[in-house]
Amino acid sequence: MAERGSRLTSPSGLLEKEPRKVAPHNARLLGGKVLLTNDAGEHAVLGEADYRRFLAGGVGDQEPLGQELSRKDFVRDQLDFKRLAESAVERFLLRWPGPSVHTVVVTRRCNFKCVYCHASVVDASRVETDMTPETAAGAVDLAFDSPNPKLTIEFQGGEPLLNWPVVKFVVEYAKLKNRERRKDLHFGLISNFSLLDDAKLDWLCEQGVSFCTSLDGPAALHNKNRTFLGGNSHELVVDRLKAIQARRAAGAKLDAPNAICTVSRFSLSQPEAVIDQLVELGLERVQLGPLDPIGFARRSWETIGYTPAEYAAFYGRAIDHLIKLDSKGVKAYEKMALVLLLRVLQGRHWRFPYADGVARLAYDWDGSVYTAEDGRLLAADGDGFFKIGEVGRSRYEDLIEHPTVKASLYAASPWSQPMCFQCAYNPFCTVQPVHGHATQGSLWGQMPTNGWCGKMMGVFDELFTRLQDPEKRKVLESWLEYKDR
Amino acid sequence: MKLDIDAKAREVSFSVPTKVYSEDALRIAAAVFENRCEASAGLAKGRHELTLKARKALDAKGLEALAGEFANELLNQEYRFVVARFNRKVADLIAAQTLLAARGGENPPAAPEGEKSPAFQAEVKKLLAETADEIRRTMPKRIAPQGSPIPPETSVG
Repeated sequence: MAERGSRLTSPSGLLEKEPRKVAPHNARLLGGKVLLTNDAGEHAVLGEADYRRFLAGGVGDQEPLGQELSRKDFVRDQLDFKRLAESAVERFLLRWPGPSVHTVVVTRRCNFKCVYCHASVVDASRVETDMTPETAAGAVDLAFDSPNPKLTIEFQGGEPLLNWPVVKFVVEYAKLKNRERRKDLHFGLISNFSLLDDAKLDWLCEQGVSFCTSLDGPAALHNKNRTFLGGNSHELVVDRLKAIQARRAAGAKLDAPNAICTVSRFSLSQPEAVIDQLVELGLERVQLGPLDPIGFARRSWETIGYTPAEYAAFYGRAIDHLIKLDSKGVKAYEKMALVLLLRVLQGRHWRFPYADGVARLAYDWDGSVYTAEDGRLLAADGDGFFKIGEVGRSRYEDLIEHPTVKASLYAASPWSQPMCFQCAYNPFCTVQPVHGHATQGSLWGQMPTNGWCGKMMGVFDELFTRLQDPEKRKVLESWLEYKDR
Repeated sequence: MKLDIDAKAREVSFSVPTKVYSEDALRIAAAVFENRCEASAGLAKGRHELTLKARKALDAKGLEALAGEFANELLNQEYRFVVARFNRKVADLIAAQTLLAARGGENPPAAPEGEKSPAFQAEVKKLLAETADEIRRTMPKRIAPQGSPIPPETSVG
């Protein structure tokens, strides 16, 4: 059985199981207790003595533990196969409506020099890397060919506002097309806000575009991470976040702005200050994005990077601080925790959230189409492995039928990954093939030494540990209410 | 694992049993390590005999680490094949269903007729022309290093 902190998930102990009573499951030692999970997406936490009793077939059907294990499909001779089959079909086979998130990179230019930039941007003067309106139209056409009734077009860069006319064009053209298609259409702008003047803000608000930016924490930390040669990046982003909040307060029908904190080595010692900065601005959603050694971050990893264990420790402190704030009446949640808790506590699990190409697509400024934004970032760094087509040349079906899409899908399957197959977090976790390719030279990666896997296991350890504490669990369960916001 | 190290030639050699490791696993591991070493293999007495030639100079310790990491990748790939064979039916079913659904079925619906109408096409053409005009009018040909557009009336160079 694997212990907390261990990357290995050996199923030892199952050898002594009583086959009539013990259904297939994975287990992990967590704080002196044993976490059991199964393919039905259920979990249970047992003391070590009870777990050994269960393995030996010694837990009675009538005792509360026996009833819990039976209800959660851990007791072999009490499995309801009809219900399990229906649930599996629903979870694994019926949730694939096609790509819904379409990232449009309207320019590679950027006016920031962030220490960790994943986007492999170019100088703001390189106007030749702006997407043309014709290419943008072709990208929107491909996005609309997805059978998914829900479509989100996400503007990225570079800094997308540097190519403002094409941002406007995409919104207007997509709305024009949607008169016929009638999809549930959304737009999101991912921007550093440095060029978001009031006129642009008003137009975007009128069009219902949602806003996402980066706010890494207090001024000193943010400005260290996100250098803006034209001024103080922290002051700018805070000012614009306040402007968006003011419009919402005045009745504008806008989603709450999202401010992602990218965690660099400089952040590790101050998770509390990072969260305080976000909640001070009235932001309920906290998103603590881990850094990956991809793009520019790979070159500066020695200075800004960290180990998965360091990230997990930061993350645990951040979650504790959010829980502490809750006791003071300050409501806020962490986004990755919400996504994972929905899977753990409500069985909401997209089986392949990193199913690049079938769940999301990315369109670069020059019309190249990638399985996802991460694949596009690698291409900007010279590795075009994830390119699956070209606007104007490829049909939508060509993109989906591309061998890289199929290979990525298999690589993201937890049933094809050796360590994932045995991992207690398998029913709730995800594999990221782009990370494996970029950092370990293969789509499949090598999970025992994979940085993404290390981070995810650390995050799950932190969350499952807190779920065992009734007070903390109550707060974490209350975060589920944010799922539809 | 017994290693033969020749630091001067930047080479490390070792062997693994053919009963455990397939040629496919060897090929994939060699591809994964392509940037770090050139791998060559031969067969002798039920074993794959492998030689890794490092692409950059490594001392004996470095060559030993390279062989260890290569062997880990070999194990990773071979074990992956085992797991994939074990779960093949379910993985294939899900992948096939996912790809078919994402494609829009066997015969994806064609674009709505309305999008082919002259009125729609005219609107698209107008939108494209307006955007091209806005780019001409507002987008500077040159940008100051900090990203602020240089006003059109400012002559630079």
